[in-house]
Formats: sequence, structure tokens, C-alpha cells
Amino acid sequence: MPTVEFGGKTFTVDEDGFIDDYNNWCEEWVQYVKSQEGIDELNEEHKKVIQVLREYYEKNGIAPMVRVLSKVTGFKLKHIYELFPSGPGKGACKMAGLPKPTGCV
Amino acid sequence: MAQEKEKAAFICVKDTLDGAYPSLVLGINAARLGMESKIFYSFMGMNLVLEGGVDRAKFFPPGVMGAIPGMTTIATSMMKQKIAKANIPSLADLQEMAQIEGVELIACKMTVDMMEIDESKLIEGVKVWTAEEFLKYAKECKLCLFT
Repeated sequence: MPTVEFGGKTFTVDEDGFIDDYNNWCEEWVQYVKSQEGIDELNEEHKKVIQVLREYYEKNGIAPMVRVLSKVTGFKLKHIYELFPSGPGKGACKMAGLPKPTGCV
Repeated sequence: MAQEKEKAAFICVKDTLDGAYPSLVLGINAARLGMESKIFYSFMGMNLVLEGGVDRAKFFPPGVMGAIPGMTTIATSMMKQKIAKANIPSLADLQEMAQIEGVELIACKMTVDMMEIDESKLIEGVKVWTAEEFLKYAKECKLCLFT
């Protein structure tokens, strides 16, 4: 599997750039995805989305549906796309260290 | 010079759940693959790009089941439960995601005229194209699917 280096750490990733192991998630990974996503500054809203995703994943073993993510964070879907330009899956889930969502959408 | 995007078109002519999902799912995925993606809504599919249209989409069970009074309501409810259980977004969410991700929703001009549709009732961002306009785009497409 390919690896990426960032902030002095090495991460193994899948073919779509998602971290291979949820437990290897760390601040350096967040900063790496931030740079890949072209996000200027991480704010409290980004952190809230990440926190909700990780809590949901730890409890349920899957990523939440967009409607659930929207409801729990209180952010409209459009705003989540503004925070994460690649969207809730390829942007937010990737930054939160979740595996690539397996569904079609 | 930036390389021109490959193009994809999907045609949707039914306003049922099974008519609406395929074009949206494929349209979003085409966009995610870096393609220019458009969905052309014609005939009953047009209802999906009217305000509130996706919320009215039903599922009609096939065969004689569909003829039993009340069965469509039950089948629609069951299908929506299955969709939610499989972690698939609702049609409204999917349509919003599609538009945010750059999928263009196109309404068929002939259907607009035939059904005397007030264009102000179309959801935001929907363009109206004639068959000729659509075909000019479709000719350029690498993918063109009737869903």
C-alpha cells in the first residue's frame, strides 16, 4: 500500500488516500488532509465535524448518513461542503481517519 | 491549458423512487470521477426537478400488488426504510449533494411545454433544454445512459 509522509510521520493509505488504520489517526494526519483539501485554516466547525464523525464511527462502526451528520453538527449540507470542499465522504471522513465509505454515494 | 473534462449524461423519465435514484447516483459518481455530469429530466421525470418533487416520489410494487389499494403507500414506506437502513441518503439529500458537487439538472423543454409547467416552479439551478440542445451535448459525451 502507498505511504505518505507528513510532519515527520509516515502513514499507510489506501488507493484513494484514506488512512489504513483508524487508530493511526493523529494531529499530523489532520494537517496532511487539510493541506490536500486546500483548507486555509481549521476552525471549530471543522473540528466539530471531525469529532462527530469519530464518535459516531466508534459507536456504530460506519460513517453516519449526511442527514445525521448535518443534524448532529447543526450544519446545513451546503455548509459541510464549504468546510470540506471534497464533501463529507472524501473530505471530512478522510480527515477524521475513517475508512473510505463503502457505499455508492 | 487545462484538459477538457470528459462528459457524461443521464436521462431520467420516471418520477418514482426506482426512477429517480439511478440517474442521481450515477450522476454524482460521474462528477466524482472528474467528469462534467448532467441529468436530463423528461416526461414524468420532470416532476423530480419541481419544488418538493423528490419528496413526492413513490414506489409502485410490480405486478398485481401494485393494483391493491393502499399498497403503493406501504411499499413506498418500506422502500424508504430499506434505503435509510442501507445508509443511503434520501432523494432530497442526494439531489442537493448532486447540485453541490456540480451535477447539472436539465429539464426537457418539450415536457415543460406539454405539461404547461411554470418554469418558476423548477428548483433552483435547473436549466431548460430542447432535444437539440441536449443532443449537441450528448454527442460529446463519453457516457450517455438512459436510466
